[in-house]
Amino acid sequence: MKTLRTGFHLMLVCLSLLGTTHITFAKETQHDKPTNATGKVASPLVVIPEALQYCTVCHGTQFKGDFATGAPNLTGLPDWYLTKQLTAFKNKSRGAHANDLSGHEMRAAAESLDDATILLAVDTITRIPYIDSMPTTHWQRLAFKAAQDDVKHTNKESQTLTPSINNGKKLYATCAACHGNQAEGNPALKAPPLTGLNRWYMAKQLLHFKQGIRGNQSNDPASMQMKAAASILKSNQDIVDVVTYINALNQQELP
Amino acid sequence: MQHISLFMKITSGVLVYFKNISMKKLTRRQFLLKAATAGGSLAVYNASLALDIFDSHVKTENLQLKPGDGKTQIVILGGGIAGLATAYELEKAGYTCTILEASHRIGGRNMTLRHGDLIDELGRPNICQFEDQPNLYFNAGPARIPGHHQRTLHYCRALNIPLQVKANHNRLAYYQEQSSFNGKPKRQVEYIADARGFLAELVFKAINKNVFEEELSQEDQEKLLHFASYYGDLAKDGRYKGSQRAGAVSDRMLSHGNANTPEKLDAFLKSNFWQDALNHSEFYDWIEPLLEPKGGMDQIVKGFAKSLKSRVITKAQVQDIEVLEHGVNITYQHKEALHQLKADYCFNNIPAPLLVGINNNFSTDYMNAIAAIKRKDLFKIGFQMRERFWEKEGIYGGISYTSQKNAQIWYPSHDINAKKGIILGAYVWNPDDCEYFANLGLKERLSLATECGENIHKNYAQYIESGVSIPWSRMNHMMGCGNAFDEEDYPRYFHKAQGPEGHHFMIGDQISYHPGWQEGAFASAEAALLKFNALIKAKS
Repeated sequence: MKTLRTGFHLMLVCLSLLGTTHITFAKETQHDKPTNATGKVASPLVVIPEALQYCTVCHGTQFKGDFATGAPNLTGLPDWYLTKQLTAFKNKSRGAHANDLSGHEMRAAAESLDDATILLAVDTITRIPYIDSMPTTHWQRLAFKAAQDDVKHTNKESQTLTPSINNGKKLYATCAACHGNQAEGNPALKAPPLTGLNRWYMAKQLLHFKQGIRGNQSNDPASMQMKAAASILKSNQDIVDVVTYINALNQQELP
Repeated sequence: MQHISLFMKITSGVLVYFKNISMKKLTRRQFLLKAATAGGSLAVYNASLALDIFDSHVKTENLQLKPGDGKTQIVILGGGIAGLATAYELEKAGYTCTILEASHRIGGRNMTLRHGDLIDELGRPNICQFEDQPNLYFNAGPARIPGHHQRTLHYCRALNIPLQVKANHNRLAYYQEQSSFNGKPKRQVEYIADARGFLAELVFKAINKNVFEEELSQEDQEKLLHFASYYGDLAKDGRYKGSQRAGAVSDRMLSHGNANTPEKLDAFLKSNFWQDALNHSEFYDWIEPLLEPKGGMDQIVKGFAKSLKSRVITKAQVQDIEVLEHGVNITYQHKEALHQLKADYCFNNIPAPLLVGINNNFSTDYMNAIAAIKRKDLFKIGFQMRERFWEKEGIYGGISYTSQKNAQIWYPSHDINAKKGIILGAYVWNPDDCEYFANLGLKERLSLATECGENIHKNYAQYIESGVSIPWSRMNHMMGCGNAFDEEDYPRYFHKAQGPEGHHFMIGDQISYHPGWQEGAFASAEAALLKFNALIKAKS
């Protein structure tokens, strides 16, 4: 992640030199508690164009994500993937499934965006340095309860599972074929980087792929491929394990 | 920050001590005196916070806040009802307030829609197409005030807002259920007469079978028999044969009206109304008569706006909340520029699920408590009708209920006999149905509510001139309505969310037990101000 972050800083500096960035506001006071329940504070803040202020209502300050609205962290995602997903939402190839409740909201938002605004959004988000947001302790509950609610409001209480990194590593071997050994992603295969994604969001999306809520549109073969791949995850335990492994990659806790 | 944590350590030590001594059942006064001796006035404040023993004898109309010194700066995040009331009280006491509001308007969910108003829905912003007439308005948020919501009514008095009676329960309005009585709408009064009749008949039978022999004396059984006969309008033989209380099949003025034939008991039992909506007016918050401001609920917002001198900055989106040792530091974006505002105290009205996404340095406990407040949904539709057809059906105000997706139709209590009127065409509570409506396009929502209305009122569709829909879960800068704690989260987090943390106080109906009511918002503001008052007194 370090390289990614440096990359962004570098880009930010370059853009500043070119004079194309909006003026950013340097905060005088540094937060001495960088990680809390909502994650690290991005400093300096990037000014969000007015046309995109709808986005940060749900996606949070600097697009760092907000589990309470169900909006994921978008910082650190590459431009091609952001463009693909925004377009997918706009074209109803994502967020159209009857059980994808938060997807419905994003689709409604994306439908109102014209191509220029999508470009502006992607440009703005990729100018924001990666924010390592929210190491929430109850990410499993967030992921599974939200996904269950999406399906049938079943409200079945999900217990917290103890993750097995080893099992996660074993499972990830299949994922690595497309997403890369370090989950760095592969644009040629339309496989996004997974490092830096919120655990609750990854787990929820894996469930959605498994349940066919995502990856059911024939005009999006990469997504259909992901749906097929998600079938290797046989249980919530498998999901928890692989998400924990990917998250550990991000934290550079693994060799 | 170091100071804060040291301070916390000291006070928490003192607290453990106080919790122990409080076991000995000291009086409140004794307890606080001991607290003062042990740790000074700030310790008293912290002890009071931890044990939640703020005096509640103080009334909203007389908060008796310590007068401001003219220098103390207050920032209020969110111009909803709680934020406006907070500013009003603090201004009155001599403090300087700034209100930062993310949307284009103040009032939050207190929103009355009229000709030309922007409905700022996520992805589907649209303009209200009602005609420009003073009586054509729609209360999209709160729409009724019961007589015991004395905080709300106090502000109506203080702000000189004229009120009128609003009919909520109307026995002449309909109940319609797709799967009962061939889907035909029935007047609620018919259900009520039947429900009482059936119940009373059963009681009558039971008494005659000596079922209550052990519980009641002979004399009391006779009284109960009398009560049942009168309650259910039973015939002399104790049978329910219909009641003129529900009107009559023929004109009642020029001839003896014959009562409707009652439904068959088994058919009646199959219907859902008598188990549910029939009893809505029994709820304490919906007891008759209810009230509403003349000219729309937002007269309350306008009243505050007129009275306040505070700087109100709309379209100011908060980016960062930093709680300092003696204040707060707020970063917000306004007109494509970032601004910083330092204040001594902060009252925060931002919907908790949105606050979770805003940069902050809250403690993990405080953040977890705020994050426990979940989004909740309600959905409303308002229709402009070219004619007040319902009045010709004998319906003046009140609510018709239906098992269809639109759930309710509300008739206006104001401007009776005017040419046109705005009715509520849907008020949806069921989360699945809210989602169903929200997921439709703007026109499709109105079409669905129109179809539902057709099953209740003949030619409903042809009266409709325009309509608005408000999915509260998608309204920009709110994205929800009220709060929804998971059951297990109430004991764990509710008190913590009521705060404060340092000089940062949460407010809003979201941290009251009365989400979705302005009274909850006013109560939250009152509670926060009392804590603020205790803190500022302790610090002086």
